[in-house]
Amino acid sequence: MNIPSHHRNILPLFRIAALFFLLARPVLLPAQAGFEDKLSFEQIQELLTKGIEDRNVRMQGLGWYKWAIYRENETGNRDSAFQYLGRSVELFIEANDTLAYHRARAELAARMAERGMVSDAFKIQEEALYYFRSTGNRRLETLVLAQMGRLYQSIGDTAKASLLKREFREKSRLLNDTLLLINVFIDEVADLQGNGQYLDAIPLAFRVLDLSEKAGYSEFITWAEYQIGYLNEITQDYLMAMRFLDRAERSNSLSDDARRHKIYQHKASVYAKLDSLPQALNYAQRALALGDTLLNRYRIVTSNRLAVQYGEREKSRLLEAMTREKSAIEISIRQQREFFYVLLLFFGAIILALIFMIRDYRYRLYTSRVISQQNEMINRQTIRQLEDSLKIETMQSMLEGQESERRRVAHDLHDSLGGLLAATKMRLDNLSGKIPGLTISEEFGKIKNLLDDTITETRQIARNLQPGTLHEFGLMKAVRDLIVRVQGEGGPAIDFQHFGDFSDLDHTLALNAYRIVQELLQNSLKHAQATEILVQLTRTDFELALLVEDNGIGYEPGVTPKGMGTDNVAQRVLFLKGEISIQSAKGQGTSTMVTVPVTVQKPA
Amino acid sequence: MIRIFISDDHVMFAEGLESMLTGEPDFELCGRAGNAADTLKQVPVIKPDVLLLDINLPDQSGLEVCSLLRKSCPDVKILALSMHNDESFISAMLTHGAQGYVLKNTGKAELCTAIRTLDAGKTYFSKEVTDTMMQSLMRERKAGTTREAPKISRREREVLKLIMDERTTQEIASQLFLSEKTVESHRAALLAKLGARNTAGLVKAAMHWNILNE
Repeated sequence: MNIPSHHRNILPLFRIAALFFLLARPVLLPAQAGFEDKLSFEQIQELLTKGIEDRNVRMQGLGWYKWAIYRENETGNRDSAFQYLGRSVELFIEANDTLAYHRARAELAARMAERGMVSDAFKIQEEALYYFRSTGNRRLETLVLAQMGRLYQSIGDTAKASLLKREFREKSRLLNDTLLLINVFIDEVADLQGNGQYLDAIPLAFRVLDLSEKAGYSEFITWAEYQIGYLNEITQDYLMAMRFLDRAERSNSLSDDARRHKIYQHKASVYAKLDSLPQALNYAQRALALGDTLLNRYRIVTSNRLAVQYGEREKSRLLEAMTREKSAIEISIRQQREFFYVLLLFFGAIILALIFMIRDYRYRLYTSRVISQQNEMINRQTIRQLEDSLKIETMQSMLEGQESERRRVAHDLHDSLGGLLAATKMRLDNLSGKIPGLTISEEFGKIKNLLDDTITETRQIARNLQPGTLHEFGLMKAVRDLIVRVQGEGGPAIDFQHFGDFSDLDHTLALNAYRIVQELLQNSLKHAQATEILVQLTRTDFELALLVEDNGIGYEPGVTPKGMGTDNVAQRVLFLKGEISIQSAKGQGTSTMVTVPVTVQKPA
Repeated sequence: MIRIFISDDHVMFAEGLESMLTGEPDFELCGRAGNAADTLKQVPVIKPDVLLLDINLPDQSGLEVCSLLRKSCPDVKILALSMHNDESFISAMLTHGAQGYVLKNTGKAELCTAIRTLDAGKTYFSKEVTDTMMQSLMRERKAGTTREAPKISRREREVLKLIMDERTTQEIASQLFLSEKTVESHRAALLAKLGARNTAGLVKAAMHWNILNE
C-alpha cells in the first residue's frame, strides 16, 4: 500500500462525510408535491402556520421536513434535524401519505446511521426500499439502494455493499438521471479510492465535475474539484492537484468550513511537495486557524443548538398554546352547541310529553266512556239475567207447584176416586148377580156403562196429569206409552225413535221433557192434519234433543196459532235453559227441535 | 177351592172385591193386606193359590213385591190389579213374574175368569190390556225391523246433505237459518241414528242406506 498514512485516516471519514453530504441534500429527493422547492424561512413558517390553521397534517409534516433541512443547512446542527424529521414522519403517518412518510424516514435513517443506530437505519431503509419497489417508484428505489450501499460500505460489509451498488448502478443507467449518474460516479470514485486505484478514479471524478457543471450542482462541482485535487496529490501530480484545489477553494461555499479546512490542509501539503514552503506554511496556519474556528464553531454550534432547542421549545409551546386556545374555543363552541341541542331536546321532550298526556287523557276519556257503556250493557244484561233467573225461579216454583198439584190430583183421582169407582162397579156387579132381572133392565145397563166410562175417563185424566210410567220407567218408556195411547185408529202414523240412554235423567228434566213432547205431539195431532208424525229423542253426553216433526199443513212463521201450547213449551224450554228451533211453512209441515243441556247437577 | 189373598191399600176397593168374590163357591178368601210389608210377611205363610196384587202400594212398588214373592213362593199365582193400562207397567209386571194383568175396572165375571185361569196354570189379561200389548207389539215389530234405513227427519236430511257437501256447522246454520247449536244437535242425532262416530262415518252410512235419494 502506497497510500500516505494520513490519507488512510481521512478516507473513511471522507466517505462518510460525502455520504451525509449526499443524504442531507433535499435536492436528491425526486419530484413530489412540495418536496422539490427550496423554501425560505418565511415560506416554511407560512407553510407550518397554514398547516396548523387548516389542520392539514401533511402540510405540517412538509413544513417540519423543510424546517429540519433548512435548520440543518443554516446551523449545521443535525440533532434538531433529527427531531424535526421525526415529527414530520409522525405527521405524514397521520396524513396517511406513505410516500412522504418513507421519504422523511429515509432522511431520518441517514441521520440515525450517523449516530450509530445502523441497524435501525437499515430497517427503515429496507422498508422504504420495499415500499418504493412495490409502488414502482424507480427513482426513489434507486436512491435508497445507493444510500444502503454506502451504509453497508461504512460498516465494512463490502460484499453486500458492492451487491447493492451494482444493482443501484444498473438501475441508474436505466433511468438515465443525471443526479443518479453523479451518485454512481461518486460511488465508483469512492470504491476505486478504497482499492487504491487512484489513477482510475481521476477520470471518473472528472465525469462528476463535467456532469455537475452541466446540471449546475455547485456542491458536486466543489466535491469533484476537491476530489481531483486530492487524487492528483496522491498520484503525485502536484501541479494538477494545486490547480484543482485552488478551484475547489474558490467554488467552496462560504458556510462549509469543514471542507475549507481540508482544502487548506491539502494545499499546505501540496505546496510543501512543490517546495513552496511559505505558501505551505501560510495554508497550514490558515488550516490551523480554521481548525480552531471549527472547534469554536462546534462550540458555538452546540450552544446554538441549545439555544435553538430552547427556542424551538418556546415555539412549540407557543404553538401548543395556540392549539390549546383554539381547541378551547372549539370546546366552548361545542359546549354551546351541545347546550343548544340539550335545550332543543328538552323542549322536544316536553312537547312530546304534552302530546302523550293529551292523547292519554283523550284515550282515558274514551275508554272510560266505553267502559261505562260496557258497564251499562253488563248491568242491563245482568238485570236481564236476573229477570230471567227470577222468571225461571218463578216458573220453576210455578211449574213445581203445578206438577205437585197435578200429582196430588192425579193420585187422588187415580187411587181414591178410581178405587171408589172400581169398588162401586164391583158392588154393582155383585148386586146384579144377587137380584135376577136387574141385568135385563135397560136402566141398569146404562148405569153400568156410565160407570165404565167414568172410570176410563178418570184414569185418562189422572194419567194426563201425571204420567205414572215416567216416574217408574223413565222418559223413553213414558213417551212410548204416550204414543201408544194417542195412536188412535185412523189417526196419523206416529214414528218413535230414540237414541241414547235416558235413565239417568233428573226427574224434573224428564218430566219437563215429557211435557214438551206431549205438547208438541198434541199440536201435531190436533192442528197439523198430518198423516205422519216423527217423535225422536236423542241423548248425547251433553244434551237431550227432542224432535217432533209432522207432514201437516204447517203455518207461517211468526203467526203461530194461539192455543197451541207453544207458550207452555217455550216456558219449559227457558226453564230448562234449552233452545227451541221451529221450522214451519205453509204446506210443508212443522219441525220442532228442542235441545236441553244435560248436566250432572239439577237445574237451578 | 181356590185360596185367594188380596193385597190393596184402598180399603173400599178391597172390601168391594171381597164381597164380590165371597159369592163364588170355589173361591176362598184366605187373607188381606194393605201394604207391601204385610203382603210380604203373610203370603209366604198363608201360601194362597192366587194373589190379587195392586201395583200401587203405598210403601213399596208392586213390581218389587211381585219379584220378591216370585222367588220366595213360586207356586203362588200373581194377578196384577192396576189402574194403569200402560204397556210399560204391563210388561214390567210380566217380567217380574205376574201371570195375569187385570185393570181395576174389570167386571166381576172377567175377574173370576182371570182367577180361575191363573189357578189352572195359565196366564190372563183383560181385553184392554191385550189391546195395549198388541199395539205396542205391532209398533215394536215396525221399529224392530232393523236392517232398514233409519228414519231421518226432514231437517236432518237437509243437514246431512250439507254435511256431505263438506259445509261447516257455521255455513249450515246460516244456510238453514238455524243456530249452530241446533245444527250440532242434528248432527249428533244423525251420528247416533246412523251409528257413526264422525262425519266420515256419517257420509258412509248415508251412502249405505241410500238415505239422501229416498
